[in-house]
Amino acid sequence: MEDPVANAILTQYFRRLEQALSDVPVDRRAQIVEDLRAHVDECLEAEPEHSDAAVMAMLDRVGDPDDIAREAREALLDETPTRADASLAGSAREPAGSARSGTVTKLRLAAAGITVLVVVGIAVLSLSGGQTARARGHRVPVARAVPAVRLVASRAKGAWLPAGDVSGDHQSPGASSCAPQTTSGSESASTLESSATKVASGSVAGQSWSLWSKKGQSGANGIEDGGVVINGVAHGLCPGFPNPGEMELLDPSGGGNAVAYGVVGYAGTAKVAIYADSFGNFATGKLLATTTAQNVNGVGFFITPLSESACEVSGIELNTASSSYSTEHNLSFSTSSCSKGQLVPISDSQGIWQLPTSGFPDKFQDGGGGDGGGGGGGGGLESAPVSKHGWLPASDVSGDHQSPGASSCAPQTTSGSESASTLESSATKVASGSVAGQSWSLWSKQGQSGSNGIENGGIVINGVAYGLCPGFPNPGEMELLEPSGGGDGVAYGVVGYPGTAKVAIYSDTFGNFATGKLLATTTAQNVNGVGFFITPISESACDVAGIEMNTASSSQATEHNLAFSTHDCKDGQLVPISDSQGIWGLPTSGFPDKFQSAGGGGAGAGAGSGAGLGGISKSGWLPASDISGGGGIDDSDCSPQTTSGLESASTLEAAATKVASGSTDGQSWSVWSKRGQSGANGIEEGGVVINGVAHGLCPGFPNPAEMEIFEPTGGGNGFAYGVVGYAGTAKVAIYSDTFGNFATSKLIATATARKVNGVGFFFAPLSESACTVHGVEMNTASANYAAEHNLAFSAEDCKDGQLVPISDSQGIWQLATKYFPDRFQSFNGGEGSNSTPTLSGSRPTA
Amino acid sequence: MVPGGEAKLLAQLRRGSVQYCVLAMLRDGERYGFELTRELADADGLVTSEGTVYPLLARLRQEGLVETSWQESSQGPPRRYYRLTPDGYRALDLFIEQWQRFRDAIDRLLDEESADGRSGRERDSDSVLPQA
Repeated sequence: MEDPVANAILTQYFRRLEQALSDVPVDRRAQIVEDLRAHVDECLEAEPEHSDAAVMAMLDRVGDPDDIAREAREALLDETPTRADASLAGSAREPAGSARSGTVTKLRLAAAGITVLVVVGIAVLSLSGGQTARARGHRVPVARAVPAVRLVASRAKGAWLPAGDVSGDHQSPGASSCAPQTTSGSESASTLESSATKVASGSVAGQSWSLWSKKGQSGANGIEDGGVVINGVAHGLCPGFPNPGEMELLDPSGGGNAVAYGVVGYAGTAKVAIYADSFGNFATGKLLATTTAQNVNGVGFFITPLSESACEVSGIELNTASSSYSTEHNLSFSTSSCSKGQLVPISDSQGIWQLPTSGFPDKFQDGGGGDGGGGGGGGGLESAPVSKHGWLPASDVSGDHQSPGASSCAPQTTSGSESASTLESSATKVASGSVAGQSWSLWSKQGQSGSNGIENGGIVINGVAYGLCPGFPNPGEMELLEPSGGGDGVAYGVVGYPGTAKVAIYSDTFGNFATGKLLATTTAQNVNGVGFFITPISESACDVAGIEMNTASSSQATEHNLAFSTHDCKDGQLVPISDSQGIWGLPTSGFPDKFQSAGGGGAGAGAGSGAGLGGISKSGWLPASDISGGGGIDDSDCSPQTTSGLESASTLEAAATKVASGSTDGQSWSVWSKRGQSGANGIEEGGVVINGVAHGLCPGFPNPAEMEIFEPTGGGNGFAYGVVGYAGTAKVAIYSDTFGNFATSKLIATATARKVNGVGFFFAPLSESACTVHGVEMNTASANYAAEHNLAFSAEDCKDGQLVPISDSQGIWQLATKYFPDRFQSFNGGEGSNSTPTLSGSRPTA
Repeated sequence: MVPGGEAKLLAQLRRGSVQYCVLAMLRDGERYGFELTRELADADGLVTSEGTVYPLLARLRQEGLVETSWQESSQGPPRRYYRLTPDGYRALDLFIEQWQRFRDAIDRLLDEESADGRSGRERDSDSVLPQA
């Protein structure tokens, strides 16, 4: 779908659906939405035309979100009493007067009437001695993938962000009653202590505590299946593993402020910041506590007092940053069930994991100098740069912006000598006004509309015509003008989504999506069916070498990172754009990071009128990031080895279990899982024996897509092998690529990862020598998730019979399968009918 | 007359039966969601829209009457296929047996009413069906 208006229609539809389903339990809601997204995708695949009208007709057929939600609620009420009670009705602790209970009451009343005929039918069944099919205890697990709509042009990946849920069982207060217990506070410590091993102890806020790991288990799992004893009473930690940021909230037996404790599932110490927050976003309100998670049981454990009573904290934003990763976990608590000496039941939660530490968490920076909300005072965590470099995939963009010359588009963007009359004779004026004392008019090319019309038309400022380099269908474009006579610059541009839009323009370096100094905020007005803005910035255009342009319309947001060729800056001319990259189709709710501070008047020298932009929420769109360990060839030198090719197979085989074997194009291979370990971890700490020589697979766990490339003895084409860490089989496509992006160039291997050791393993021939491969884009798609892994190889160190050392890598995990990988779609629906990609070159011979 | 008219009457009729129609569609083998919903939507009056089938499918999964699996598709992304569980087969068999008795009983009553010279419409006005 490349039509932004049609995309917006789809976005709006699914937003309405989510809203309509808001009182349906989160797991069911996710399932229905995911199914419907798949359904809509199928419809789109089946429809040759994707016009606005066609999309609307298709959605009419799919149905009104309110009708679907009604069906969902009725289905829940028809289910087994246990399920219905636990989901829609909430727990017994839930107050009768709550909104949820009220809803349920209404539903039950409605259902009472609606089900009359069914009652007649069921009565017939009962009288005849039949059984109904309703008394089923079996529950099919619900996939937890957070789906994303394919909203954007194939080159951009806005809307692909996965960030999945969560603790799994936190959908209702009742679900928080996990072992040893989290609600009653009556669990005997001795029971816990007899089945677990004490791994840490201390005191917090005058209360002694000890931490216990379940015998036979380790890591976060051990702690979550063990528990915490506080003042002699055992408490649990609701299992979130493998989610790496979990916490509980205790109202101490003697009252007073809350105690929070939890696990950070990454190795080593970690910084932890706990903020008040409402549920459903990842914003940070009042800072309630900061602490450091200590290395316990191989992971991080923290316990800290908060600055408020647990009974007053209905929502939490838990931000953590270990040495390698960060997390955001947004939890809601059932404060109405708050009781002294007990944990406050968790009623809901959503999380984003594996964020890069460098860019996170949003407010850690504020925490260093402020107390939430961008204000002053209050100590916090050490500042971390709020940069997203390295993890935002966002491919480019307008296509023509890579060099200054490419920016000289019609009428012109550089000479400043184009006659306005030429433009005006071929276009229609669609807006006019004045900015910074200069009059302007906007012109849409005759016969065209929307962004296209404006980009193929132009703007007249003080009688001189200027262009707007075409970016359509990219929905966030701008130009920078150095006015005649100098002074501060003027920025203007188009937001390609319908309706008005907020725009914030920051100085930035090119190559990331960070926000530096705020140069302007404004509102794009509805012009020609899209948004147009023109605003002064707070600096001379000649001083602005890079821009981060953030926009948020009612339906979608964008980030556009542009570089300007300031040495070509001249009075009365546009500054040539030398490069750009963009991310489109982001959900408005989660974006842009700094809009909140901009709207609040905090950062920068806002030159425009924009204010009060939305909250900083990233729900649903942030990607899991990174990577194999931070770069450096040495990282690839892992056990048993990946470079020497001399490791004895017998050593590996003695310490591991063979879990698979085969022969591929003359190479016999076997896969070995380290004893006592399982899954991807086992394989990565085990190895692969190829023709009697042991080779490793550099640990990436819990990253779910890792690979090595191998140059066979005697030369010839290379081989790739690796692990896809999601359950079941998976498609794998390997492309040559440069490092630093997630682009796909030449397809050099395809494979299907088969189920080995509980995950996917593949061994595939390359279509060229491994020594010629400097970088790859490894795309995988399992049943539930997809991943992109971009690796650099040190081809100059390539040797016969050895792996080629990995010199760097970056990854994106937990992408929604159905929108991924980029090129799978064209393989499946476009270039051929095969379900897997087809190598373009000739297949290697053994 | 049923309050709400024809639409509501249809909704009430659907409510106890559509799930079994879904089970029946799976009787001969697994099918994927899009295919199921399209066929159901094309059957006159069975569902109001394609999308309303998914909550029903979710419920059937929840109750263990169907199970699902992801399968590769040559046409695009993997698809979720639905198939009957043993419980699903039993529920369907039971429904078929009871439905036939139920339907026959209703038909007999309607036939008798017609034979007595009283139209269904007049009968409706007596509000035999309880109101919501």
